[in-house]
Amino acid sequence: MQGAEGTIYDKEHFQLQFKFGPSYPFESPEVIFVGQNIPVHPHVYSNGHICLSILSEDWSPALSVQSVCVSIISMLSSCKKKERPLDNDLYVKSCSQNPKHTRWMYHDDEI
Amino acid sequence: MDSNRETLASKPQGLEQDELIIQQHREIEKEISDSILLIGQKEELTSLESEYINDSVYLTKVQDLNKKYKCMRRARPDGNCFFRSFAFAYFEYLLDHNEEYKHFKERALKSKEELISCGFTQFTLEDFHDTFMEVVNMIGEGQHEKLYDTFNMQGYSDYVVVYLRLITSGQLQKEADFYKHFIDGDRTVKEFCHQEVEPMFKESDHIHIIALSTALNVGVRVRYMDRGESSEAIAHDFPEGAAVCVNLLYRPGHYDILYSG
Repeated sequence: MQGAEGTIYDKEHFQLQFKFGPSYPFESPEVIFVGQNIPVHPHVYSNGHICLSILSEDWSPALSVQSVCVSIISMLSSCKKKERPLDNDLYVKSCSQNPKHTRWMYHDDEI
Repeated sequence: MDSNRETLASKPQGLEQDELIIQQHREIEKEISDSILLIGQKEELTSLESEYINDSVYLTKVQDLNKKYKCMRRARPDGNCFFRSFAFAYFEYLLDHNEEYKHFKERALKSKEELISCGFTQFTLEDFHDTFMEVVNMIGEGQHEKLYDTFNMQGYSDYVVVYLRLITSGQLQKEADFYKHFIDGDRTVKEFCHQEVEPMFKESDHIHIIALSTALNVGVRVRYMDRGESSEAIAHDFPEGAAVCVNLLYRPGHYDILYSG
């Protein structure tokens, strides 16, 4: 995936990993950033976990891999300042490897 | 706000607890799915009486229901119970109403193009539409038992639920100017559909019922069992004035099927 033109991620390359469980498409795939370049963004942890509602409780079976990618690009594109989440260190130290084992709280719809 | 900005924000709290809570949810879900069929066999309404033996408000209403309806079927309480109950009850009705079945089949065939023009991704939609049509075609074979078995196969049953959720979402978005007045919270009809209609396991409210019954032009009567003063479970018909062919029982957070004959 490439950062969108004109955004603060312009020309950056990112790699996403999708894992599909036995209940897919009724449950969301497990999606994380992998590789050398993890985007610095308030909803992306340095271990690649992404806080995005469609990847957990707002997942719909009608969504596709493509629509997930579009949502992630859109999330990156609306960001004005490269920052890690405030609780990044604590989260990365203590979280499960699978982001679906985290109960995400969604409280900021500005970015 | 564009449609792809489902992006809300972050902050996991109490991570060790998270895993335990998620695990506990899974266990509860498993217990429910092990013990309650997606769609149950017909049973007498007296089976409800035993649930409310110490609850005079509910007991009075159950006894009244017992006079008005012959029996019921339970649906698994998994958040999809309205859609699953609606689908099963209506398809069962169609087994015995051939003319209406033909109309419905045409309506169902056309719905694919309408949903694609509404913005749903073609190849994911097609998948659900095809399985939905497979079940619709099965109605033409006229076998009650086969329909019942199909609705208890998760693969088929959940595909039907998904497709009805998409039809509901399509209807809400098509008539957004009307439905926007009934949406709570500061969100658009589209956002509401993404959050409360299209995802599986999200419970249904009046607005889902109005949209689906209007989209398919199917009359639904819901009997509401609540703590209200009345001695009967009050009936609401959707869409208002339509001839009723699906009867449902609502108890807080859950829908089952009722049979009058």
